[in-house]
Amino acid sequence: MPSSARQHIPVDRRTFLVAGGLSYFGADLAGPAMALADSVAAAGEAIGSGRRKIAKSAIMIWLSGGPPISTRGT
Amino acid sequence: MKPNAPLEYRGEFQPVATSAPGMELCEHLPHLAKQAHHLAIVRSQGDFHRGTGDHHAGYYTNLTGHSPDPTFHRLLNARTPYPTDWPSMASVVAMKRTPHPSLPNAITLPQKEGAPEYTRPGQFAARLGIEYDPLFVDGSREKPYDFVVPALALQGQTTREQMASRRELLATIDRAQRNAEQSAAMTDYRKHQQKAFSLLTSRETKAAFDLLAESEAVRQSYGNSITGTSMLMARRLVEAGVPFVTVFWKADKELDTLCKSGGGWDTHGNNFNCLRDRLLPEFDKPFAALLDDLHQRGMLDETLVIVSSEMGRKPKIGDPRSGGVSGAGRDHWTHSMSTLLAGGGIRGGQVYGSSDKLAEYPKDNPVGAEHIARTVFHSLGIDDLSARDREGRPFHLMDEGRVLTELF
Repeated sequence: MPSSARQHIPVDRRTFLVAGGLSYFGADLAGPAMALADSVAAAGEAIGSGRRKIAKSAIMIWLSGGPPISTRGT
Repeated sequence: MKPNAPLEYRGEFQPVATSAPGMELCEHLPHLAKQAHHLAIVRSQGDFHRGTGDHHAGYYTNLTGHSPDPTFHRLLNARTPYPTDWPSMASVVAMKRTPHPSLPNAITLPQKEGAPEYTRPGQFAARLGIEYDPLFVDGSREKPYDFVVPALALQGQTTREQMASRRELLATIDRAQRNAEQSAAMTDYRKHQQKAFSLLTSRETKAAFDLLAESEAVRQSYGNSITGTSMLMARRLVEAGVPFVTVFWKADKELDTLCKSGGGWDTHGNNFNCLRDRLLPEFDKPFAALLDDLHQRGMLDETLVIVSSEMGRKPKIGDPRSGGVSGAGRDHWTHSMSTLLAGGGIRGGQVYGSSDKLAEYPKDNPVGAEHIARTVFHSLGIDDLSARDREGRPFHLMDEGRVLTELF
């Protein structure tokens, strides 16, 4: 993938220290630390998009084999 | 479509205007064109040379959001699903959501993908444990209204009462095996088994799977193909509260011969005739009906709809497997493809990203499967991507990519 596609998540200093501390004190706390980082990232995304709707469900339609569906132009 | 590309690329189909200003679709998607204002089309997705160019890796990548590991490159389509694989998006959602009281959190229909010896990796819970595997429901082209759960079908005249009795018997055996139950695998199996019994004997289950409860008008809007009934079933299941439903294309044996496609969209030969006469119409009508039905019921905003696949098709016409250019086929192409999104807070009527002038590679706003997966999770309110494996060890579900917030 292109290197530009990897988003750098802005994490404030306090979150960084809390997450780092949790990781330092044990691998078992890595989950909560990562969850915290995710929450921070999600909050930023929610602010960026203005509003946030939560979907209850998803339907994935899979066109097995590889379809050519696209649109005109670029 | 690349209507301005050279003849050997652009194909014979023409673009048409849609209900979304500025968005054009193929002329053979007339029903979908009327629902395009619900669509967001991501047309800059690629695998950036991380895949193998073949189906197994494509399934794994686009169902999980993760790159295929080196075993895919070594074994290609002989690579079996591993218990250490990354979980499918469906299984992640199944794990993150509160268990449904009577139905599984993830259901896949009308089949598990791949012949038994070529079962497609990426459609399972894998390292999350089988408790979060989708329930696989079978359907057929011959009897599109008859769906069965192969592992759970009541044999012959077996009644619910007899089934409950068998459950008691199994509970007795389970108690005798209490020591063995301490293992993660046995715990997973027991939970899965309990859910299976609950499912088979539940009246709610029977009601959710009863397509004949739909009005004739609704059923006709989706059509009588297995694709139509599967999409209608998907709507019923999400209406009943199932968090993730996957509908895989059901192979059509005739198309295997006509298009050298294995029965689906893998059109190695006779691409244009197969698309115009068979594949596009069978997709177009029910998918447009699904979007309209969800919208009319006020469910589209709370239901994310995704259309994806394991790859795109080679922009340059001609495939050695069908005699080159004269065979009018398109070969595999994993470097550039489109994904459709609708509902779930996604803003309709937009196109995200672009491919280069021959549609060979993403140009503007390139995205990978990890971006799509994160966007799906985000739409469903899953921002905590921490998880535990079958042994209880914590891990992070996804480190790569970002949410495509621009779509919302």
